[in-house]
Amino acid sequence: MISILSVEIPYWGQTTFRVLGGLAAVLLPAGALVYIYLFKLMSFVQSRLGPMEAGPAGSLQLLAEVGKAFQKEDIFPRKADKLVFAAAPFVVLMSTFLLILVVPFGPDAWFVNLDTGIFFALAVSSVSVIGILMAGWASASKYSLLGGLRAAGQLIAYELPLVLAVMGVVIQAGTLNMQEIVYAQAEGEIFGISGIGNPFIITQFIGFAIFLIAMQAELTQPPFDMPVAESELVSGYMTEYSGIRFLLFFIGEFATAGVFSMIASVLFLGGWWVPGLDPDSNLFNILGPAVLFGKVMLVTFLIFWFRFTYPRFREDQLQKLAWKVLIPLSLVNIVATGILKVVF
Amino acid sequence: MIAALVAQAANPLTSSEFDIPENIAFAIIAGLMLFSAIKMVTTGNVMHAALYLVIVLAGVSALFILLGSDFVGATQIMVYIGAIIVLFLFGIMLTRAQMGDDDSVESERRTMGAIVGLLLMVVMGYALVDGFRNEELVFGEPEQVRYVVTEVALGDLPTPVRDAFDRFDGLPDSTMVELSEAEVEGLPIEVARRVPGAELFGNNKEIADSIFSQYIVAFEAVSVLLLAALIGAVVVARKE
Repeated sequence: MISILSVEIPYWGQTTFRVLGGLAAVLLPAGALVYIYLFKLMSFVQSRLGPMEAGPAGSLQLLAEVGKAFQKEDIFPRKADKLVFAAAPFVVLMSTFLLILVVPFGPDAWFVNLDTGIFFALAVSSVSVIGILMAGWASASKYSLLGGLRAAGQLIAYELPLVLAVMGVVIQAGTLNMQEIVYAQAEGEIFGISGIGNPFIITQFIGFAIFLIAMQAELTQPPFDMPVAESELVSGYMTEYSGIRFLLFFIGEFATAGVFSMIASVLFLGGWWVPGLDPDSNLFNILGPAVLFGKVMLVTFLIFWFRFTYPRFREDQLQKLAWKVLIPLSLVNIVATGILKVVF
Repeated sequence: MIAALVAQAANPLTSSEFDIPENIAFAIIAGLMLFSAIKMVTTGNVMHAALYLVIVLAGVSALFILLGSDFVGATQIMVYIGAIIVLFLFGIMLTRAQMGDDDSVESERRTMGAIVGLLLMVVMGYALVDGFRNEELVFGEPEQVRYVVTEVALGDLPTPVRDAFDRFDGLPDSTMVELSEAEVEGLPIEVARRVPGAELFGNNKEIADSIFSQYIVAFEAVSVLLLAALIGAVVVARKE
């Protein structure tokens, strides 16, 4: 039985808290990312103002966009496979909500503390491919089908470097559990100096770089946006979607960006922990989510910076980068980490 | 074994060992899996069949997680849903991605399939019953902690661990203290995790231990088999 302020919470109460917490943890960062980066930073990069009318500095634009999507008709193409077409966005979003389960927000603030942690996260992140393929096929449109195929090919290719980049961290921390990975960084030391702990970005910098690149490709964000390339495929597997279902895909894209960044922060930046404070102190149960959010904003800044500044890859360049550069590099990283782990 | 289960089921209110929510969850998952499995072999559309298979495989994974072995459950998702089904869908979409029912799917070998399915069920059912003939089900938490570092400076203990023991109150940080195995086992699991040197008894460790000791030959043989398949694929795919 879990109790807060010595009030015991029944099982249904805990479940309600978990569901609400999960919704907040997925949707709030997604909203922040869309407003701060997609609306404002992108405008800044492109020398324009961005939304200015709704609310102060356009801060209510997001609500206006959601309201607009809710008003629109939910259109099904005549030849579409109704059930599969309707279910596809939910499958994509489900994968995001399963991902948030294993992210720790503080010493006691987590949804599920799985021993398998990061392995579970990598496994459920691959479920979104099914949703994308479902959308691509069920739309009964050539653009959607091509977009779906491209997306699947890309997601399969970049899942390997994503998994292999994590291996280095797992070897160094000696555990798959996300909470333990945070503790390993908080309590670790570099050559006997324990002032800043041992954030794995220092020792696993190659892993961090590969993880970020593979993450960008998994999110199908530019420069890896061939599956939704508007000049070639209208918008790929999302072409036939409108209104609320399109909104679900849109939320899925940015929510997944947020959750993947949380995982990257936990693996490489020390998660909810900041140097100088005892990782066991109760303070982190309140401070932790804010710290993690700050780190998420740092990681997503990199992602969106690349998104706004680099042109799109060609399909063959994309596959070449994954199979001939990232995978061999991450394998070398694993071997090196393994040797160093045994030596030190 | 079955008689014991039936006796427990008949008297669920007095038996503290019969987990009602777990059984309800099992019934829901199993029902969904059965429905999807039947729809998978009777549907007229190849794409639908593949998607029903996704539900069946997700159900298997859910059952593993329900039984507390999340590693096998996650592997199930990663290998079957994340790789094999995606490859199925990919292949179907590249070749015949037609909408609606496909007449050529109708097979005349249905009786044969039914017989094979029945035989497989009999063999697997027999193996299951034979394998656990007289075993009693063990309920409750497994042993949590394997071994403990016996001597540690009090200052090196994490605060929650230190707070859990009254006998450490008021002692200076440099005092060397011992935690016995029984003491660590008595701690709540979140605190026990933080004891230095405590090895948690988890599924991952068990699986790793058995793969790399007891089943090492089979494990290596499977790796070689996969490597052979990989090389074969490259040879077949090459143009010359």
